[in-house]
Amino acid sequence: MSYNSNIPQGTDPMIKSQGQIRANYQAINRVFLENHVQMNNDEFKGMHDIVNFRAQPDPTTSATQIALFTNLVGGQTQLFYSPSNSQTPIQLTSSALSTGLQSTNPDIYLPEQYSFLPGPFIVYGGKITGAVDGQVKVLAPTSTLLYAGVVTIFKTALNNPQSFTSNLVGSSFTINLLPNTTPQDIYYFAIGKP
Amino acid sequence: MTFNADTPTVQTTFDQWQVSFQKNFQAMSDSFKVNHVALEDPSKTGNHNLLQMPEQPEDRKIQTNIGDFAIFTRLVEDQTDQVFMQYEGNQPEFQYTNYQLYSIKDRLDNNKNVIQKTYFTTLPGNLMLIFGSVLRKGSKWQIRLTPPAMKNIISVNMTLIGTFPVAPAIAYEVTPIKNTVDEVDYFTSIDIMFQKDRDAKPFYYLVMGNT
Repeated sequence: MSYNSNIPQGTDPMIKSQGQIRANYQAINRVFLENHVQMNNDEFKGMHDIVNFRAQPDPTTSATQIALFTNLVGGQTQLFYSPSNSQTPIQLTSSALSTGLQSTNPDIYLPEQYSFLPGPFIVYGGKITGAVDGQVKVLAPTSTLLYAGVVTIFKTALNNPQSFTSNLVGSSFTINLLPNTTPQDIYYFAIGKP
Repeated sequence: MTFNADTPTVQTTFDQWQVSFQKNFQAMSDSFKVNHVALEDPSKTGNHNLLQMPEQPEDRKIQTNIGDFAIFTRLVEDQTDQVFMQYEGNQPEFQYTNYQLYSIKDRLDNNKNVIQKTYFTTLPGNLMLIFGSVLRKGSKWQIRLTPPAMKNIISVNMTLIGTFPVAPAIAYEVTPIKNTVDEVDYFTSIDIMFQKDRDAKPFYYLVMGNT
């Protein structure tokens, strides 16, 4: 039974109102149980066990108000923060997330991982074994790189190794090495705009 | 005040209904005041003042239908309650916040000179960024990783501080060092070596790792 905000009418007999009023209480209780701790829980009543959002257009916010909401980005629901005074919303989440283990027992971490920052930005990090001079590294997922840096990992056999980046194009960058005849193991760190 | 969704019953009279109605209205008001603008407040009715989210049991699977996006909290081992998120269609949940924030003291040498500044933050997916600067030579050039929480180093980045005319290619050679802290293996420091033909210099650093 759905909620009915137009009962009871002044002319309704009590025998009719009883069922309607009880149905409204039950509807209120059922709706409140969605996302909320039940009203009869003395410790946590009114708090939220989960918060589910449905996609919304950009909300209006007053000078003393902010809003969290979701909207579709590329067909995927993402969380947004809307500052006060209806300023431009900031996307808080991104589907660009690949972190953690690639296998267990023993734990083996993914050698290349990425996560996100509000904006959104994609933050990439990883290790390349045996990188060669002039190698073009293409990062996934696709973005426009804003920063890319590399650092050589210690190897006693290397004599004064140097590593640096150039040619940031889309989500790729070029690895430059000195001496340019010897492969190096490197760490990279990059930030891109999806 | 207890809310009773099964009131009124048909047998009761209105004077009995009045009591149960009032109890229910009071219970609804009491519950709605928590986290929400009060029902009695004529402005911004339905808005939230804050979100308090009791942790969800480990065995509770969160449901997200198509078009849904869910936020919730769970207790994370070795951490406190953390915020999790889950995309539509019951996609895998992921941890959004991570670890506890607390201040990191500057690392000092024997003469109380600052030799390392440390800051840290986290990224979704159990990633941690430790960053700052190593300012003076201690017993050796080393980045100390505090808090000791990285179980895996993903990447290290550095750049020299100052106006020393360096070529764009600065070689930093890094060796992560793992130690056991509270019976768990964490990376606690990274040794830094400079090119043999260059003087050691203060540098900024950023370390990305898994917690």
